[in-house]
Amino acid sequence: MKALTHLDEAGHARVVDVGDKEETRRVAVARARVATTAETIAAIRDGTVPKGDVVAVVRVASITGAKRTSELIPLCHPLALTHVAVDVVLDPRGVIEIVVRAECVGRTGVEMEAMTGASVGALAAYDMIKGVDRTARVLSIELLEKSGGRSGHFVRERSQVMLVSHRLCVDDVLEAVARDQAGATVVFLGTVRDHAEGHAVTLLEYEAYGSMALAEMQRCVDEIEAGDVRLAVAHRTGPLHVGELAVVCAASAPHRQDAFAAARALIDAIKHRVPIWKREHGVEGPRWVDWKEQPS
Amino acid sequence: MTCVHLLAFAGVREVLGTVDLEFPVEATTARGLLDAVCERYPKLAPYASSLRVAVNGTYAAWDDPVGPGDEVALIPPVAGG
Repeated sequence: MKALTHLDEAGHARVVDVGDKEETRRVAVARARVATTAETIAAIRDGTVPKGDVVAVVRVASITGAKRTSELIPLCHPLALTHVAVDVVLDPRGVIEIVVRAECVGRTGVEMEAMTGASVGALAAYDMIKGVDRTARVLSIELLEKSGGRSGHFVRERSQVMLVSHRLCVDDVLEAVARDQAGATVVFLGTVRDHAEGHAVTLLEYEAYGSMALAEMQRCVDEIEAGDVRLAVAHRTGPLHVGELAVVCAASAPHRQDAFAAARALIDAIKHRVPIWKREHGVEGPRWVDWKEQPS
Repeated sequence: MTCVHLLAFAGVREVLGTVDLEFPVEATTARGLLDAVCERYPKLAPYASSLRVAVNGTYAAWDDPVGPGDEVALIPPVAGG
């Protein structure tokens, strides 16, 4: 087993020793999104939220959150931040977006500062608006970008085609097809069901020829997209349990007929062409779906 | 003689017992390569008619050329979604 870096020999938690690492310039960008009503966004813009200036409070809260990270997150080093910048974007459709950029020159990454800043900003936003919209909720907290460490430059991709080993997020796919021309969006969700051909299924393992799967999904998208139809797809890899999302396809178009047709064409093409395989686990042990000797 | 970089997935990977290998080959076609692999791995032969071949990340027609340095994948029946 790989040694756990944040436990000592006796198994106790520790802040890992980075004393020998080179100091480098580190940058991280994180984003939190809070869903609320269009009326609340308008009230924030107009400065009529009873509690006061939401944007100013969120900005200060995010900065404070970033600076206090090492006190809140147990195994984080205290970092000497050189820069924290907060962008608060008000989407008139009812989303407050808080983007925190944190920088330092140091021996360890600054992403937890950006993430904590975004999180605290989101909670402060909720606190400011809960009097006018109790149903508001934090939609997401995520790292968008990170650079400066040994792990290289990370940028979260939000492309039209995605192949991921973590839980699929329907919103990511919807975001990729969102357009002002769209009057209809159709989403297809493929989930793991508990049976196949009359027998019970407990787990599916998805394997992909990654680079070709992405290229082939893009080719499917390019071939089906026409006019104002916009498509996106995200597919899972790895072990999936019953009920988990295996694939998300979305199609947007000015009118629903085209959106339905394109979504259907996309999932059909993906199932037919994209080099992804699944191993089904059931009572008779694992087997690769559709893998059988052919009659000679 | 030089090689193609052969990739094996899912059922093919289990029959070949490896995820990839350097497979020695002269200039040939997708069909020729699949036949050569089946000759060296007879256990793959019963599945051959269900396989497709991809060359450098794109499905190949059976008479498409395959030569040293290509990345060639043997694609079992796909089952995404």
